[in-house]
Amino acid sequence: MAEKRVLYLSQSLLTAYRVRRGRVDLDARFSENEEGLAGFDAYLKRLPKGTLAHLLADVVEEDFQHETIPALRGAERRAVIDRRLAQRYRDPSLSLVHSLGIEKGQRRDESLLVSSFTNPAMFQPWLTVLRASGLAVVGVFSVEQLAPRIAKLLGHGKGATLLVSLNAAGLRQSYVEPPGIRFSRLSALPASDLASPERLAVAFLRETTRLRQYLFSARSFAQENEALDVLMVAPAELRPGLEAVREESLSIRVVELPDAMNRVGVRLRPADAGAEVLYVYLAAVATPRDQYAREALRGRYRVHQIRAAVLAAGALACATSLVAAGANVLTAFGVRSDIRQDEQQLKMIADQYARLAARLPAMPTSAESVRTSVDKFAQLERGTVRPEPALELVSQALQSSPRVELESLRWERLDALPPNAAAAASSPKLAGQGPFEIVEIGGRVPTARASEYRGLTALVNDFVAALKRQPGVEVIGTRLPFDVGPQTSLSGDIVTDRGEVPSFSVFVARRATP
Amino acid sequence: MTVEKEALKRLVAPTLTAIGLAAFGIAAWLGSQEWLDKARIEQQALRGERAGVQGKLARATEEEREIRDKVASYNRLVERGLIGDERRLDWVDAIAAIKANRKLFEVKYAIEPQRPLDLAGVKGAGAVEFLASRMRLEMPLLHEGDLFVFLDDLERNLSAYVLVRSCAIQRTDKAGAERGAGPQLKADCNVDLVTVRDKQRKTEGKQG
Repeated sequence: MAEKRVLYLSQSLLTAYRVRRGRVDLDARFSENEEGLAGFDAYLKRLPKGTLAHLLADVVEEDFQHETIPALRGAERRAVIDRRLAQRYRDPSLSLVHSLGIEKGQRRDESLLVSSFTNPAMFQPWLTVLRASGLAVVGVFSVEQLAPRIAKLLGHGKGATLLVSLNAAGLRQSYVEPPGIRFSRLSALPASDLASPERLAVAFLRETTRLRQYLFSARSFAQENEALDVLMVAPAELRPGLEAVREESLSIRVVELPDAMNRVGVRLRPADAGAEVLYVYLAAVATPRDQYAREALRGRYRVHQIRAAVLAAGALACATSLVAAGANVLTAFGVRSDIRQDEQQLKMIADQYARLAARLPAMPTSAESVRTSVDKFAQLERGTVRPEPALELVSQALQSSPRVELESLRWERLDALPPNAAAAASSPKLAGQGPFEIVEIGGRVPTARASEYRGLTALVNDFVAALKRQPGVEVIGTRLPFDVGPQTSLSGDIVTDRGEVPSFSVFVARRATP
Repeated sequence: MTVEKEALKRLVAPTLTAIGLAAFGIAAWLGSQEWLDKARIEQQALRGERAGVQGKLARATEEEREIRDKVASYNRLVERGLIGDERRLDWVDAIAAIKANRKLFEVKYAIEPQRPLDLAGVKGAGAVEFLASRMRLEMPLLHEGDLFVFLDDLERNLSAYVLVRSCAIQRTDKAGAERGAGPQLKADCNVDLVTVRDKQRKTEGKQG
């Protein structure tokens, strides 16, 4: 946190206060002369680097004016305001404009409250030293800017009130119409008024009544019969005198200075300080957004603001990242805790598995290999056939055809029927998946002559019929000694008989049954 | 030095500090994120492992009896020499012994190189491979029963599974008195000698 100094400027005296949380300490006092300015310069040079300086003026030469300008925006508005300030003040370099809003009427005008220090020359020596010191000057402020906040902190409600306080510079009277200030003035009290509490109380009332009359005449306070609400911050010893007043035009509430300090947040103050500590404290801890000085004076303060913003951005990024990191760490701890539970569960399951595995016979290989080997081997056995059963069926067919003699047999195991058996594939005996057995039977009829074609054909057909009667057997093709089918060409030699033994072939198929 | 330069100079330190703070925060966040990611990956792996073991346990419980039966069958196949390397020398010895025992006329055989078994529905999987060596047999027979007895003996005595693919039996061209004495038939068969190769088997058999 930067060091803060509030330079309280009264008529001919500048008092430097050091403001920290809850306390206002007196640093130094400087008179407006050569020696005082030199001391001020030396004082500023001793301050720590980065100290923020607030110049708080509590002077008589302050003017408040109501202005009405056309409702404009931007540069045009600024130009109109500058022109008005130049018309009204000889040197408007320390001026402040408050907007009071747009007036409702046929012409859309903006109502302004212009406040200005009418004697900027009295500021110049101090501002020159300040500018040269290289300190960050937050701005030039007037105590009236802080009056609405003090009134609020002292418990004043929504209505207008006159805040009266006895400051080092004199009696400060600020007419507050929440949320802003409407008028303020400083009355320097003569020494006779300060002689006793009774006389001071009289001075309080005198000045207040006088201001009420001014406000009425200036039309700031409309109802003459209405009592003016007055909030007086006064030393404790003035309370009896002020409360004894029976003035119908004033509704007075007295707040003793220690009580006011407590409400504003000041715990410690210099022993000889008056109500100005309230303004000094708030100027540092609740600095008004608007101020009187030109931007040229505040260059270093702008740098200070940028530094603070850059640091804040860095700190924010750091804090955000650390919060996110913290959240990650918490989540990771949660995950680690889950991992420990998972590890325990895994160990439990693994133990169970190990106990079960111990009961199993020694595995010669992986369970998968055992399963594949045994299952596929069983499938191999199911798909295996031997030739004997099929040949047995041929043998049985031969028994009903004693004249047929077997010449050759060819047996084959196939997963699918051969292409030449496609026509027979629709047979119910061969329907479904393989494997199939194909038998090619080569035979002859030794007791017959080739010229006995009718008898031969009948013999072979009888044999084929006998084969077809065998269970599951389907004849898928024949080659007769004398083929009379319409698909083949037929030729013969009736005259010559060579005595050849006629031979034939029959092809049968059946679904393999292991 | 102009005011602007001085102002810029005054901004260097806070800017560096801000960058440092942000970098520290981001580094801390990245570090924590990495730690968290690592923990999550570890957790995921552990849960995968747990699910695996849980699955194995469930399967093992369900299949305990099946595994017992199958291990016994597997061991029988190993004992028969059907699982493991081919033992061609044993095969040759066995064929010679069968011929001698059965007093067969002659047995000619030719064993082709081993290759994957070509049989519908019988394919290896994983580490298990079904392999076959095709053997062509030519033998004269007194009668067809000699062939079937020979095939039975092969099945019983060979350390391989015998899968008969085809057999052709033909009468020999002998006439008259010759017919009664020597072989009457000639057989020509193709037989697959099937073995199983299991790459995960703990003790592989040796060539016999």
